[in-house]
Amino acid sequence: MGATKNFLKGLIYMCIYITTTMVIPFLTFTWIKEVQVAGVNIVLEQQEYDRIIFWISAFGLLISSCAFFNYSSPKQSIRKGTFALIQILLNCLYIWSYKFSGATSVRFEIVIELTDVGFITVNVQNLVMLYMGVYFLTIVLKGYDFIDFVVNREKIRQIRYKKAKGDGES
Amino acid sequence: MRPSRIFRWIVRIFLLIFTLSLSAVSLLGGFSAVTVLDPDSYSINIPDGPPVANFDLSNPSNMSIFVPFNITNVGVYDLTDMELSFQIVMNYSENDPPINSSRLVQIFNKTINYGNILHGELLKSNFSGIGADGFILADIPTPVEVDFTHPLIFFANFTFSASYSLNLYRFEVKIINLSLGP
Amino acid sequence: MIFQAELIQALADIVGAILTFLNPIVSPMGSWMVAWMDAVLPFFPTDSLITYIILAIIIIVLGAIVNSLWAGDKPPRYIGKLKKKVKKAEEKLEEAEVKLEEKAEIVEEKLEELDTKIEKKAKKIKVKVKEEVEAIEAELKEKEDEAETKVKEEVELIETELEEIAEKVETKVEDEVGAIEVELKEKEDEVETKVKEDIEVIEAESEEKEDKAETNMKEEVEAIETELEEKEDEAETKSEELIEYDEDSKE
Repeated sequence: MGATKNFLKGLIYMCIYITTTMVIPFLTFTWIKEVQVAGVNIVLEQQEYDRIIFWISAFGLLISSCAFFNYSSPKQSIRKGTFALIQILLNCLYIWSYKFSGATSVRFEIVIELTDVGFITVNVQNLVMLYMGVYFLTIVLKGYDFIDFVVNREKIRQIRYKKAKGDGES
Repeated sequence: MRPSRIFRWIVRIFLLIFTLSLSAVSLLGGFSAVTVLDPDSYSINIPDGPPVANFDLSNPSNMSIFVPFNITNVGVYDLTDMELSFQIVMNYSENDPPINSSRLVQIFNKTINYGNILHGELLKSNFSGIGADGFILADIPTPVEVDFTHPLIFFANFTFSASYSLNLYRFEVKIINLSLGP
Repeated sequence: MIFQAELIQALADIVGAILTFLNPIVSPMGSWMVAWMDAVLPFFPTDSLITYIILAIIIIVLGAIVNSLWAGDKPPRYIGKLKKKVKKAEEKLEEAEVKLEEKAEIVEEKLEELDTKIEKKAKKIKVKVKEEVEAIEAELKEKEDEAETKVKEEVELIETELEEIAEKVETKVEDEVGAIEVELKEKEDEVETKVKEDIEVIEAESEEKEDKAETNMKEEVEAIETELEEKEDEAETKSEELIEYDEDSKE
């Protein structure tokens, strides 16, 4: 029964991550590919759009598969900790690769009457630093969890076995 | 709960507060940016009135450009390190025989830093350049070099940049090849 | 609307303050993160998605296999080890019990042999003891007889001695009794005379006392008689009154 429950959990979370890392960003970027602000068309450059979609798909697949492994693993197990850590690292790469594309600049073209009139560049380097700082702390947390699971392995297994036994008896 | 889990919870709470603050700043910044950019709010008026320009090639040192503008920061955060940059490119026909070739030359390039506009404040100023202050005198052709039978066409590149939302992001709006007419 | 704007501004200020405070702590961590990601990202292929699709499938299949084989609901290794140890101990116990039973059987057989041996020895000892007892009894009897004759002789000796002593004692006693009798007689005479004298004294005293007593008695008797006479007179008067009363009452 434990394996089936974990499997279902893994599948559900995999679907959630596919939605949040691939489907929603894909729809969002497709929608904002061409948008009007203050009566002016602002268009995402095609090359930029293609690059973003590629990284969404690539890292989205890896993150979703890791999410399946992570959430179908038993609670507080070492493999769960390992894949949670890998997932976080992939998440960082995901955000860095497509949202901030290494150059920490996003460029939108201003189009008036089918003519490129100019562009808007948003440099989010400082924002990126803060988000990456948050991810760093999350990685530290996952690393700490991993060490905790390794060091207290027997205690965790003991508690898990007692709980499982208690559920079985009840 | 094992003591080792308490440290975990402390870091999680810190992360939660920080992430929420970051999200709030992004949201508020975005919200107020929309407010500022809304054309009906008249927050950004460049130019605010008729610009005055003197592109007399015979007297380059007296060439001038004067663009009044006002910017009202109706957002919740300060606009910091605001810069306005203006470049003027002139398209003219050369007088050199035998072919009247068209030539593009940048005659004006100036960037002015207006500092910070605190939230709720109005900046009313002028973007101006006179003579050597802004105009690239060395590149300006003399009247002799210009074939006035073809009209001179002026193009402008205008850049407005500023930092917003506690310097978390810096935006730059660049309008290129804006025709200033003959 | 103004309140809303003020509220938003206040919120923005609070959040801004938090971020401004935390920014110097978190930003350096972020720049380090950016550095390693810039180093790692070039290793990821950018030409096609097939590599990523294959990797994703491998991870999912691996996850399915690993998490179905080791679902985490089995008891921990140390409990399994414990159970094995318990099992081994139980097996050892069983073996030990079997060995014990065998040993117990051997010991029982040995005990039975010992019992028979002891019985035989006991019989032999009984016979021996009987013979010895008889011998001792015969000796005892002889000794008894000897002792009896000895005792008789001694008793006779003692009797003769006793008779002699008795005769001696008799004569002594007679002599002493005579002396005592003489003494007693003398004392009797003394006592008689004393007693006589005392009796005379007492008689004299008693006569005096009798006389006194008589006179007293007479006086008292006379007094009593007078009283009686008075009381008789009273009684008579009262009886006459009673009779009169009775007669009155009858009337």
